[in-house]
Amino acid sequence: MGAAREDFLRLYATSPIHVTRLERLLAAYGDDDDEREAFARRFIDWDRACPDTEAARIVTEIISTCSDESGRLRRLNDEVVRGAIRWMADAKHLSVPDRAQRLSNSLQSSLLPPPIF
Amino acid sequence: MAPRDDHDDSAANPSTEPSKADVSRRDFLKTVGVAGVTTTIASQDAVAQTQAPRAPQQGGQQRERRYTPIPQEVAGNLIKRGIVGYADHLRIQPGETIKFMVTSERPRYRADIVRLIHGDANPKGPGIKEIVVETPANAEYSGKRQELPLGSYAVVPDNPALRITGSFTFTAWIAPSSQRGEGTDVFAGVEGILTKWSEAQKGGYGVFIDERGRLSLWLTSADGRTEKISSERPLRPWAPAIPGMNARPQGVATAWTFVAVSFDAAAGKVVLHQDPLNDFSFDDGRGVTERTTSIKSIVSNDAPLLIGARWASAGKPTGHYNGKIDNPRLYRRALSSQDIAAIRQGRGPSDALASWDFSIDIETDKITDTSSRKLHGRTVNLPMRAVTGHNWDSFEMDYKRARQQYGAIYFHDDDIDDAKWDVGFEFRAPATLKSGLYAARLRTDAAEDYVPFTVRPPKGRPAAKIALLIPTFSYLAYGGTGTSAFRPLSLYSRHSDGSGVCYSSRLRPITNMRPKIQTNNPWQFMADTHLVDWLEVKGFTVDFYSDEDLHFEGASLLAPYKVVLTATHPEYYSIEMHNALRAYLNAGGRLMYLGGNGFYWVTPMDPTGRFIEVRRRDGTEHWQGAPGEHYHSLTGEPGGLWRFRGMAPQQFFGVGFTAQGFDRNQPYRRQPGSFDPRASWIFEGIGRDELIGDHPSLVLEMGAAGSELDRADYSLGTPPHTLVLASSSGHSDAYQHVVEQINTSNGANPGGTQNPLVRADMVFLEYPNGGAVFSTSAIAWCGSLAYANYTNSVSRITENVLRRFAADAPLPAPAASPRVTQGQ
Repeated sequence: MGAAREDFLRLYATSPIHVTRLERLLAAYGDDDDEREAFARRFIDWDRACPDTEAARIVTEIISTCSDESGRLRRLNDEVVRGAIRWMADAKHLSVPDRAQRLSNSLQSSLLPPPIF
Repeated sequence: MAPRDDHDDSAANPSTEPSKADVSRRDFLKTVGVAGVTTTIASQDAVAQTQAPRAPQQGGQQRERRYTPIPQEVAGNLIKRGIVGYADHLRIQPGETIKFMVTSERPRYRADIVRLIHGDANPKGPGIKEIVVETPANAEYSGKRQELPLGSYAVVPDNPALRITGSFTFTAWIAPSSQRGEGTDVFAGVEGILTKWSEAQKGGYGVFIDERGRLSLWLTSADGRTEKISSERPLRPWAPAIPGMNARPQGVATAWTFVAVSFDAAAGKVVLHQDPLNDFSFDDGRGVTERTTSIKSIVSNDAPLLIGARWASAGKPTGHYNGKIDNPRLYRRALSSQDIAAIRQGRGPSDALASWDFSIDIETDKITDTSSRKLHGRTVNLPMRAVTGHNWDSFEMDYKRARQQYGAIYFHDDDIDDAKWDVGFEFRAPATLKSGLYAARLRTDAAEDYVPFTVRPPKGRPAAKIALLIPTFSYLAYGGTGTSAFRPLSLYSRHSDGSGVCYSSRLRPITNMRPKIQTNNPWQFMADTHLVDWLEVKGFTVDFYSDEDLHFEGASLLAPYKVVLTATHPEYYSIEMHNALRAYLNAGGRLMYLGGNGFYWVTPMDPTGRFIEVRRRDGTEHWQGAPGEHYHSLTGEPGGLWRFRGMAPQQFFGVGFTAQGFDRNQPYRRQPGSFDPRASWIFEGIGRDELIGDHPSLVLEMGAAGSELDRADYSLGTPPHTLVLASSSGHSDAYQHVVEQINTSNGANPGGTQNPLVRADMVFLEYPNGGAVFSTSAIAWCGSLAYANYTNSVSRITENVLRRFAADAPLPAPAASPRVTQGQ
């Protein structure tokens, strides 16, 4: 396992249970070891650039539950993931649980098929 | 419904789907700066359509991120958090004073003492509940940044004999573990092996490993000129563990190199020897480098001598060494090649200025000089003791039986014992303060932190029939520093060099032992507040104790109580704690084990109560110790799982660890044992076919049986009269049977969908003299207590048991009912 993936698990797992969840997340965000390593590296860089120490970790929890109707984890593009970290850090007018809930709702609903009007 | 196009942005386009979500997607998308949230399905067939950018990223930059040293990572996180603190104790009693150490990025901060009742802000639960305690400690204080002094070393007080000005020789066996080179996972820097070198005092002498991994001698002349003389070839670093989480990194046998550095002042010659401990004559790490120097006389200083670091300034070491050092020696002359060869063979001249034998006093922080000068010293920040030395022959695993083969100390640049921050403020607990869970709440205008502690009743003056054991040993084991993650610096962490962390101290900020962590899987401290809240809501009077109280006071601590409760995950237990619980039960005590994976790892505590030690071996774990290093340095007892010491938790509490998972929990279904008259009272108010805990939970969203699960196992010692009251089933394959119960790695039936051993068993068993145990067998149990305003099956069963256990009335005797036989 590469250094960035190792760091990713080290920085964002709040319990042993989360380690497996994060590994599953990394597997979804790269088709091979190089891609997973690159994603982990980018994610940590976004975290380091973010002034909030918790935003990135919370985003890992949220995007690790973004799944389709069959339960398969969906991959969000980089811009969205980075934006999610920034939003978690910036939306300080909301409580942290509110932020997490709203971000989760927003991302999850964007993954659903569009409604038919 | 229209077929889904993964490239279709319309799902996230506010112009086509306005106001559907309960948050303004428009605002969110505006914030994140994208027109649509493009996703791909993470499966092979869909990957071809992925729009997730592939490397290179960030404007086409294909840059390699260098390894960020753990000390740097931790320091950065503490700064980012804005305010962080720790206390000098995890528990106090009324009348005692607790001190708080605080680092703050703001010049002022506010502190308030609060009683914590519910620390989980999840909006699906009761939310944060805390009560401010009126105390003079509640005030504003001056804040300042304080640094975490990571990195271990040994220090020997200054002595005239160590103020060498002329010729000398240094020898030692070393196994440096810092990886160097061009890769992404390397870290580099000068590391001190043995130094009497002070930046503040303009130098001195010292033996180092330089930036390129070469053995190096630094000398400063009397006129202030420094020469740094390095060997031709770099030392080959030892890789103590294979990087990788699921590869189950296991410690490997140490790769040693004998090194010697001599300085001949009269001849102006420096000789650097390096000789790996192997039989490969062609090893290119082997060699002798000779250099000349114009330095004839070394400047002396009064700085203490360091082993494993050098002084940056008075009292502030730097250049921490990663790896083992065995038997460092100093001679006050330039030894010949023959003398040096003799030392390598274990002989050598007897006129050493100092010769430190680390096999002496392994159980302490002392290092012993066996020379006549007795230049003894101490270790700082808990480098690892009881580790194999260069001469370990693989025959003895117990250091006590072959101490002479355990003459090494293992230093790490991220070891920590006492952060020694300046005290920010103190709180003296008033005599009337109610026992409970408390915290110092620290606030600036931009940040907040909590420093938790337990207030126990005054010694010998119980105030309740019920005692709750706050599992502080387990908090320490999981205690990470820097983020809310349980690493780094916990006993689940690995050091910079990949080896496992085996000591955990309370005298540092433990930033995941906190309320208000945003997660759907609260762990340890925060999860335990679910139980604290339930006890408060139900009106029970409870005395709170920490694991340290139990460890140091034993069964007498619990004797006054009708009932003792555990919290959600009391995984780390010392022999003293084990014995105390067993004695309590045998004397008629009643235990409610309200969690999962308890009583699992052998965990001694140091005599002062500062830190715990765990030597991992053959359990469900994140690292495993190296061969020959499974005996605890604190006590000399074998480490690993209690079950492999013949003390499986099933023997005493009816159940033990069987599986863990992460996706979703399951409910329990009643088993025949629940209808037995001995235990049917537990299910008063519960329907015959009612699923237990089949409702939302604050741990992993849904269900009471989840996270880590225990099971009755008669072959592992579950007492035969134990009643299995209820069991979970139907767990997903994310739940895996624990490795310590699998003999061969053939992968047959490991997961919850196939393996009947992946389940939680709720059990009840009686002890002599009216004692009893009720075990729920799941960490998630307490996360289900609050649902529906605390009126649910989990809450009802917990209350039924607690009220009955706390009552004076005897329990039905086991002999009065037929034995219920259960399968495995």
